[in-house]
Amino acid sequence: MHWLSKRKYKIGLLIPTLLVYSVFIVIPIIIAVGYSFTKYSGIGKARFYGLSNYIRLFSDKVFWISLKNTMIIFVLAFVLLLTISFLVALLLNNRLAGADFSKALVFSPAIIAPIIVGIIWVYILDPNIGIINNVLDAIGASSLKHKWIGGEVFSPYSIAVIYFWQQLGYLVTIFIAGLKMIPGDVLEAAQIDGASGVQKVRYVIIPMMRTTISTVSVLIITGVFKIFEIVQQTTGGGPNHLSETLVTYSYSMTFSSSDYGYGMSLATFTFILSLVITGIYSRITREKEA
Amino acid sequence: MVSKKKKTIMYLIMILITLVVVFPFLWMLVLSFKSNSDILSSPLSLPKTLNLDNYKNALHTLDFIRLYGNTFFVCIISLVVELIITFFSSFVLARMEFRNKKMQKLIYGFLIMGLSISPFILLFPVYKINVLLGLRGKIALVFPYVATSISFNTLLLVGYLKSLPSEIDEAAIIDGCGIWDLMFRVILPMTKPVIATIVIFNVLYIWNEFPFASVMLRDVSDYTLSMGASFFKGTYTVDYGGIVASSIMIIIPELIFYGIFQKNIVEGMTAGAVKG
Amino acid sequence: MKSKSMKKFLSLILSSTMVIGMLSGCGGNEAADVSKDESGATVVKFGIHVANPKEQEVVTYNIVQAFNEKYDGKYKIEFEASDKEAHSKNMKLEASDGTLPQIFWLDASEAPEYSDSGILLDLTDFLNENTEIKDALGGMETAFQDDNGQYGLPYQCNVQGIFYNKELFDQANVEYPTNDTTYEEFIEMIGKLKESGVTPLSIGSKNSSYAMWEFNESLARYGWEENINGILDGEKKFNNPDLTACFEKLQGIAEAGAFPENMATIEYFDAKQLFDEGKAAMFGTGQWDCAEFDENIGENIGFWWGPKFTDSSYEQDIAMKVPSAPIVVNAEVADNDAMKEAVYEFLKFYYGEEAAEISYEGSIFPATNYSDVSATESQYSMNAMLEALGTGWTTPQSAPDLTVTSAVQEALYNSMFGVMQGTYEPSEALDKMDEALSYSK
Repeated sequence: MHWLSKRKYKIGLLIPTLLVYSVFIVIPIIIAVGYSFTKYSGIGKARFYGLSNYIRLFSDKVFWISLKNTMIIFVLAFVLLLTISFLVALLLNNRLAGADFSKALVFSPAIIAPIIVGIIWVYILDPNIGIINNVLDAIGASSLKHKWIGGEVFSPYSIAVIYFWQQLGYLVTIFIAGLKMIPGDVLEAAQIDGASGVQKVRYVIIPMMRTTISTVSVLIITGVFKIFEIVQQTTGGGPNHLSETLVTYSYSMTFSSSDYGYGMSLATFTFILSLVITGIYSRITREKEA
Repeated sequence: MVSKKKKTIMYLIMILITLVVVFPFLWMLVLSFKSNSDILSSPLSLPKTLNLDNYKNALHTLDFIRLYGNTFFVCIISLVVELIITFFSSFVLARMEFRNKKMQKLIYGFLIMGLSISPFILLFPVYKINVLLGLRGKIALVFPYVATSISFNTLLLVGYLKSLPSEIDEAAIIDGCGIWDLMFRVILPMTKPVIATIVIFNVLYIWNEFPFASVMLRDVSDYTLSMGASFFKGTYTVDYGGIVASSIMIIIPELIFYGIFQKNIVEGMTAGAVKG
Repeated sequence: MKSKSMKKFLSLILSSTMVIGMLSGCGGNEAADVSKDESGATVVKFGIHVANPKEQEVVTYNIVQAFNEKYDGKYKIEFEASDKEAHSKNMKLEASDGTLPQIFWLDASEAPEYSDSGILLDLTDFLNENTEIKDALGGMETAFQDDNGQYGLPYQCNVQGIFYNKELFDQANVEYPTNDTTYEEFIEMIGKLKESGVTPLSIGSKNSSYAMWEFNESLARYGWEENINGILDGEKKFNNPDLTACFEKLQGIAEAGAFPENMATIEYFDAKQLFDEGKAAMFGTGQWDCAEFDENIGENIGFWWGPKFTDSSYEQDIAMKVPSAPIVVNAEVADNDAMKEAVYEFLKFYYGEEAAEISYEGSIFPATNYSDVSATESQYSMNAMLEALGTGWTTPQSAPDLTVTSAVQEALYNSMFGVMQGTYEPSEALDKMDEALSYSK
């Protein structure tokens, strides 16, 4: 093995990936971060602006609203997705007739374009033409009607639910894959020792699925900070930026208000926040393992 | 064994979950048979007849053959490039020995970091880099797609390749394999499930990708599937029926594609994302 | 240890990027040749803000077809089409690398920035050579002049105001609005219409906050044109008594229940649909929707400039007939005689009488004014507008929302809808506009 790990092989085999990655991901990020220190409308020349864009962030109410919304979506989606997709995986991993079929259907939302996901849910959540409020009306429960999207309160929660719907099957599939990796004899041994279902999950399955759980967590964290189309299609960030998330607000500043510099400072903040949360998460889990 | 009562409850939950997840699709299918005004004015009503106008209109407006053709073209080139290069780099990161372990971790972390990037940060700079490199039209999409797939592919491939026992390499080397033989003849065939997973996810990603496509593609003749919906939304007009119907025509092949390769996904995930 | 691996790592990255840098160095600039099609015609690219011009900008599409037919084998216009958002992005990107189309549509709030960076052709010569076109434009072109000259020409002419459905007014037993209807009467009208079970004034804010055209009139009636330069120069504030009074009226209209309940989740298109189907009594828009209203509402359509405000000291006899966004010409066109000839021929055709006729047929007001061209009897909406224009009232040089840069424009839209949706108080909303203006400098 040793002699194969020659430097020239290593470098030769790594270079193509590093090259493409650097040119099309890293350099663009550096350029974008660079623009966050400028005033730039997208046309003509950028003007150096120092830290002004970042200072503006802190006094910008909409920034705080979009940060709050992003965190609501993050916490809700994280808790819901992690627990429920795990439970659904446990369920579907049983030998039930039709489980394969059900797995396929549950997975299906993950394969549709996010734009279309947004469009579908408008017809469900919209306060006037959406099916939920119309059904509530029809069964005489009008008092339960809310502005699920487009009001001042519920939008981020609704978006978390939509994201949950979209990602559930994807994460269930990963969990099922993880469950399949647990050797049957370990579970049998637990069975013989008289462990109950809950005990098996608590003391055998969860500890053995650490890697899976952390993969899923990282996917959820990084995914939440990229949610865009769902918000754009359901509320467009409105009313008055109240349902804006960090990504949509950054988009709106960059492209609708033509303030490329400020938009990029928002994007940089979002990117760093996502990295920090992922970092904190892996630090916590690593400490637990140790 | 699980008791009968328990099993019934499990079935009920399974059916319930499946229905809840599938419901929005069915609703969309219903909408696709309604006229533009019925969609907005009487949202709850069911279509009275099986009205195919939206589909006719979608077929009339969109050149599906060309859209599919372009999408396949971009898909295939991107996949070939990304599979080759990420297989190489993941092989190095997973199976070669580094005297400096930190270096190995650093490169791995560096490549994984891309997972948290929203494509909108990249749009303008990537466009300019493409122009600088003289890449135009469909081809301009290839590198952005390859680059954005690197993180996910690395996550899966490195995880999987690490899980293969190192005795395999040793045995191969004793048999006189060189590095290329080892990679292509021995390891690659064992990597099939995870490659299948990567192919599936990236095909779906490219199929659905809109931000890059909308910025890089100028000529209608280069448009990929995800650009289809923009044909139904003008500055002053919008055709919801057309959007819904064309969406369904884009989703159905995806569902079929997914159905065919479904088994591989679980296998690939088992191998890649779970161990490591 | 750590710093050592970091160094190695960075050098690896650096060397990778250098390779690319070298590769890119090889790709030189190709000389810009005039592109010709198979028949030898000079091909002119026309960048337009819809993805499917044949369906979504019918009139322009027809004019281009007529031009291509007339000059078959000599000149040919080809569209570079993408939806408005993508178009705006694309033009910026193409401006940075010199691949802009020869002619393109621009948002009025963005065009001055293009002009400042020197990429637009000064069309003063074109107008001087073609005085009949200058006469036909009748001053419309002045909206697109700056220190660099005539940087653009009006794409079309926008007539904006409130369309109403006479049938719904009759059902609710409400008098039709007139040129002298005041704000107080308007509020009363809203109340009665609402009682009759229809949405009084349809509007939607999701992804379409630009759809506030009917309130351009209100802004104008509170002295927008008189004060905007002072505000932009920093002598005055948006948060002034005039605009506060104006925004209070918006609030009043909202509180009277004029708007659909779900205005935040419907787009302009959905709002229009409500009006088309007779579920809303009024809808604010411009001439581009005429054809659609003829089809859906027919002879029951009426057109009104909007309420007059008795507490305003500014001119109330204002019509809103303003140039829409400009079309502009790439400055590089001047470097090539064949291309310049083709572009000028097209502009001549576009602003000629034949094109004006095509425009009227499609219920669009062209930017030009030729006395022989007019609408037919069955173009009900168009005729309702012509009748309103018949008062001969003055009209601003441009629509209020098009007099500011994109960042301020966005804030204006956001603030107006904020007041209408009850999220902002009038003065709070105006402060946001002042804030946006301060950041845009």
